[in-house]
Amino acid sequence: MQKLLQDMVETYGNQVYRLALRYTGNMHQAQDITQETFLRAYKHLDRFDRSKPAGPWLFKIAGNLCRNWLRDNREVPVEMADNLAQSTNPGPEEIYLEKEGEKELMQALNNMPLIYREVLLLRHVGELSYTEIGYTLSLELSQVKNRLYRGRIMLKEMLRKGE
Amino acid sequence: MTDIQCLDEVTIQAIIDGEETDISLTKHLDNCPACQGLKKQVAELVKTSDGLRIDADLPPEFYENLMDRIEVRPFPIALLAAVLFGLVLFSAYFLNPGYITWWFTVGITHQVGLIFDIFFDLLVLSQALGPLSVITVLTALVAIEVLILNKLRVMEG
Ligand SMILES: [Zn+2]
Repeated sequence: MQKLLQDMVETYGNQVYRLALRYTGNMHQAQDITQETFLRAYKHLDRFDRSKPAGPWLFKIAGNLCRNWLRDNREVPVEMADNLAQSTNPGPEEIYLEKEGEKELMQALNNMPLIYREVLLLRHVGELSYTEIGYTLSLELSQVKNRLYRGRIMLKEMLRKGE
Repeated sequence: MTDIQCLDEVTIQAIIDGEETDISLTKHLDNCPACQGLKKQVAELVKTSDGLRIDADLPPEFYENLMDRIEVRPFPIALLAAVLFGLVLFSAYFLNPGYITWWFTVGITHQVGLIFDIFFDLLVLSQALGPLSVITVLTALVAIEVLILNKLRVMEG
């Protein structure tokens, strides 16, 4: 059991962490979410189909935790997000935001409706295939394709506006 | 070029993402100037979204911390088992000292019984508890064993 968990952490730990980092924008919170993801995975290891890759299953758990975190912390209606984005001051733990363009990227993400954000993040941060994204979010393949396309357009538009 | 209809953005996106490999579609895309123009736009979108990639890694102690939290979980159950074991041993002794004497003398010396028992306890407990908890519970068990052995020694003569 522990060997399986160790393999999962080695293979997917950083990807889950990066996903949580994109949702929360905070390294400490992202580490907590990652730890909770693997604790839950360990607890429900008997429900995991070992013939399949663990990635989508882990991202499903992590995605739920991230959504809960957003709900409890700073998920706000889209029209209010502009004001919020302006007032977001990265704390000392958000050092990675210092990378050029990172702050704009996080603001654009935070302004984006969750249904597009989660598909974009699973694709570009989680590096999942369309089918795996569909499994993770319980979506049809056509929904994955459309949301990914709309999400990508939205992100580019928001970044262009922010310039 | 006219063998199939021009491709939509979502299909072109799937080709760029490596998710659509239908040869008739990719062939059309490669040879149609209109679709090539659209491909350039979609590729630009994909490139922008690729900026979402992030290099951050988990701290090296992550797995160790995770295991600490996992191994602590069975603690209450193991502790309860150890306490019950101690209680049963004590009750048996106080209710009928002869029973314990018999238990220790069935083809086994006191010292061997003690060592064997501690070894067995260690084996069981170390599976479920963290190092500190094992030491605490073992100390208690050893104290109980020594007490019982001492009482037996006094009783026997
Ligand atoms: Zn065409």
